[in-house]
Amino acid sequence: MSRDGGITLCAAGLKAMFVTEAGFLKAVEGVDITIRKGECAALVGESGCGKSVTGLALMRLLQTPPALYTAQKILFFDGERATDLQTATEAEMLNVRGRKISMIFQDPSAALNPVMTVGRQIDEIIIRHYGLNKKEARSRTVGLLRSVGVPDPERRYFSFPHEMSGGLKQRVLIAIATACRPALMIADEPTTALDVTIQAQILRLLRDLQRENNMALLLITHDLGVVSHMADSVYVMYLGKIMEEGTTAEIIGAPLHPYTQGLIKAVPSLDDDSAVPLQQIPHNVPNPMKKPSGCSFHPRCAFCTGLCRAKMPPLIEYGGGRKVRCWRYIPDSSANGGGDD
Amino acid sequence: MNTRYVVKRILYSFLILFIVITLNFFLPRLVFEDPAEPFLRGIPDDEFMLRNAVRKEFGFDKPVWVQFLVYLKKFVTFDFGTSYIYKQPVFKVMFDRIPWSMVLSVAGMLISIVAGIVWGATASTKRGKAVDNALLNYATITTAIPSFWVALVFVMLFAFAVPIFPYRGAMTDGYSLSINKAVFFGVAAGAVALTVVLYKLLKKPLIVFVTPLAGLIAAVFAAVPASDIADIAYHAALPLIVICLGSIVSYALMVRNSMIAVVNEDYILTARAKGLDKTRVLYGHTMRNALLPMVTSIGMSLAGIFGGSVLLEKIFTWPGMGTLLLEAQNIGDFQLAQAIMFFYSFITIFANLLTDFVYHKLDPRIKAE
Ligand SMILES: Nc1ncnc2c1ncn2[C@@H]1O[C@H](COP(=O)(O)OP(=O)(O)OP(=O)(O)O)[C@@H](O)[C@H]1O
Ligand SMILES: [Mg+2]
Repeated sequence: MSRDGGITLCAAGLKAMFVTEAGFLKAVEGVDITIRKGECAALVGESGCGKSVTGLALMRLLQTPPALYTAQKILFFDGERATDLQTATEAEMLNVRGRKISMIFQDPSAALNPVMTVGRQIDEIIIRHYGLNKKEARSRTVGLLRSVGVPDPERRYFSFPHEMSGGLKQRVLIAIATACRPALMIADEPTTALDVTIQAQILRLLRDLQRENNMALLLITHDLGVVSHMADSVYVMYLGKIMEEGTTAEIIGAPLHPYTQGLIKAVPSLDDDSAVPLQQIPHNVPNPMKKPSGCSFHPRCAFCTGLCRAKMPPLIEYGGGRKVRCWRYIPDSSANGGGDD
Repeated sequence: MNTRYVVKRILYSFLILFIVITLNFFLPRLVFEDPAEPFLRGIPDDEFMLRNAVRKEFGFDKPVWVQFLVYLKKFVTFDFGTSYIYKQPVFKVMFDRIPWSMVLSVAGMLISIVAGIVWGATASTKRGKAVDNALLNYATITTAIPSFWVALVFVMLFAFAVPIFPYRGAMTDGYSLSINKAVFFGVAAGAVALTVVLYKLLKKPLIVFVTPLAGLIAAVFAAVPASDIADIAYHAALPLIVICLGSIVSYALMVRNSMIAVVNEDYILTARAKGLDKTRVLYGHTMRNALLPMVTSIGMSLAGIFGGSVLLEKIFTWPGMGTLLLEAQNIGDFQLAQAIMFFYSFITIFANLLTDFVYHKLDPRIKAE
């Protein structure tokens, strides 16, 4: 953990919504995220909680329309300089994307252009940001392919995506995302679509590259096993809001929020006592267009009170920099509800 | 794509061609009790001598398999005999008409493809706005109305009610086309050579489509006097408008829909996340994938370039292949009709073959084994 190196990204009040035919959908409702230099922050939560949208909004990659998004600030620290990505022009963003902040996606089979050789797709980012000619770019690309563990890179340069396995394609995407040695990489479920054995290899590769380049990593995942291996700090997200945040040890070892506790109970490998049966959080994630009143988690929560149904709790400090959004940890609130349900 | 595949594909095309011409031979013999009937039309039943003479002349007195071999020989030697109407070799009659069909179809296709891509691409980026709504509404209307009806209405409106355009023919009566054949074929041959050289140098498959087309247009402008071109353009305007009214929309709709599908693909997000600007994403990634289906559709309409549209040519009395087929059919010019059918089949199969090869070059996912 390298928590001494200062901050790479600090976003506050990030909001994103979609205007769709079905209605108005608030996907992200005021998220604050801080990522330190060289650290791995994990953003976890069930499907549909707004994790991907958060990642895309940070890079201002959401299509508007249908998306609308705002933030109080998205400060990006590059050496001594701080840029507010929220107010940066599109031209400035073009120089940030790929070069300062890069991104990889869940499904490597869909994330590469099917009619272009993988070599050209890596060349493209190098030419874009370093202004090299094709020949120079190509020798760099071959080097990059080698560094991400693609065997026989000179030949693979000419391969088309469909000629590669999922794991190799994800390596190519990682090569693209590390081509310009960005300060931050946003990895959106980088291993979800891969075989279990390949998952471990890709995670190890990410971890190694992160250390080598002293790169910060925002790891979006719903897999707490991955979190405990990779992350320094964790943000737990539910229906567009951060429910709990803290170091990995705190969140995995002593979760405060009932939602986090539920997530952990549902993971087999983290349950040291194998006699305890796995427990799923009851019910499904509600439709984000019809969020429950009060605390959005209350219909699924075992500790639900009248106050929970009426009012969304604030995200409060719970000592030592960790935060939680739950009435149970707000001292004078317990008197209001009590024992109900 | 390896040579074996190419050879296989070409042989396969010949097989299809053979099947088509074989069907062409046997179908009339199944339909008519007496296959000589179309030839005997108008000859009184009791004129036995004359009837037998006609039978003999066209070989109907011989056994079917001999007739079939004689028929096949025509295709192998490319000798379809003499046209009954024109008293000229069938191929000469046909090749006099092909350029006229091409005037309409090449110009129509070029205008529709370019306008279709521009309109479709714009509509896809401005969904729900005026350009997009106009396209969708307009597409609903044009698919509901057959183009020959539009053609009739346009002739009535713009050639008779308000006579802006001529109602018939490809040139003003009394004019005839003067074409410098040496120049024409010189430039055309140059274009073919250029295509080969450019393809070898640049390896861009679209060259196979674009360069010959540009060469053809250059050849026309080099070999035909400007006054003739102006006269033809004036006569072609109305039929062209009718052609484009229908086909612009269909191209535009196709481009729009595939653009919308492609824009939501993850690889477009990857491209944007690299920091590529809008133009690069559009041309380098979106268009390349979105226009793939266009290749097939353009390839399909290649056959129409030479073949023309029978109905439209008929309505505008345009002297192309379509009207020629009708003449041959109505008057019973058997030799001519047979050659035209062969030509249509040949061009269709060849166009499919070409499209297939270009598509293979453009889309690496299609494995050629
Ligand atoms: N382009 C879009 N248009 C409309 N709604 C969208 C769009 N993108 C995302 N959403 C909605 O926003 C909400 C959050 O989606 P998001 O993709 O961020 O979830 P996620 O946490 O990444 O889930 P997953 O684990 O399935 O990837 C979802 O309800 C989703 O339906
Ligand atoms: Mg997601």
